[in-house]
Amino acid sequence: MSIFISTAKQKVKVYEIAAEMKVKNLSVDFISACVEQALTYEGTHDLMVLWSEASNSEEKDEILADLQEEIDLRVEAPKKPVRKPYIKYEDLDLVARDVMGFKKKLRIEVDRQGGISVLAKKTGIPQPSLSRFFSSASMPRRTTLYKIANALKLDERSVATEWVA
Amino acid sequence: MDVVITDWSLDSYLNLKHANVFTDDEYNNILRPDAELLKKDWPPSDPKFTNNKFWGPATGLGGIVIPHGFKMKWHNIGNGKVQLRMAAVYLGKVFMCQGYVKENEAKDKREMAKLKNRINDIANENYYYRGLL
Repeated sequence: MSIFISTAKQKVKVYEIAAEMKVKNLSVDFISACVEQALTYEGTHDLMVLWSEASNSEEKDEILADLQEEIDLRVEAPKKPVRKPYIKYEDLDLVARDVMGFKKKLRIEVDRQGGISVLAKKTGIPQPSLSRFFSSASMPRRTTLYKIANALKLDERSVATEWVA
Repeated sequence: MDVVITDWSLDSYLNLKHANVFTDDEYNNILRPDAELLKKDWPPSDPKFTNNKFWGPATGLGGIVIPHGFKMKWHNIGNGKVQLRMAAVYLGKVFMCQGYVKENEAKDKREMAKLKNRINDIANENYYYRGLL
């Protein structure tokens, strides 16, 4: 049972912000996914409000990347708690290096096919979200990898990695 | 008290570690021991938790307290002397949710918005975890 559910007033606000997002040329798929989630998840509503109120473009971009992460998280969320293997603190550096190595390789292919802005258009993933994807040590999500693979016409092997979230 | 390491917290630590936000010494002598205090009891009885510069409720938009959400705070961490935060949730167990550097108020607000979603996911049992602290 969810604890933070958007109220009727918050839902109306979500639609208003969705219209603002459309004016900013964000992809319809992205806006639609934000709205769908914000209608039930108050935290996503809050992120949309913060995006609307942010005064500088850097902050707006960070929030777009947050929103995309929230969307992807819910797509891959398990129906009940699932335990993944423990990772020792001492191994974090190694894991981060592996993840960054994998992303670096993938980025070469992205750049060869026109770069991040082209990939953003092809996938519908906001550019700030893709920039964060390639610069952070976060384990990639399968949803994101498959979107990238399909957009760039890469085979499964090209996006296969030991570390996925 | 079980302290659950969620996949979200592991992911955040992966990024913090990669960015050299804290040193191994700080992790071993400050961050980890402080988090381990949560294993003793709930609400935490250790005197450290009465210090609002170290521990307090999570707050969302408009300064409204987020039920079940808490923040552990460390100041002047790492060579960058940053303000490090760990957002935790109590719902029968303690869930470590996300560590982040509080660069400014805007960053804190974004993390608190995400924490609300994490609380929903925990309440609905829609989460991955990496074991117990």
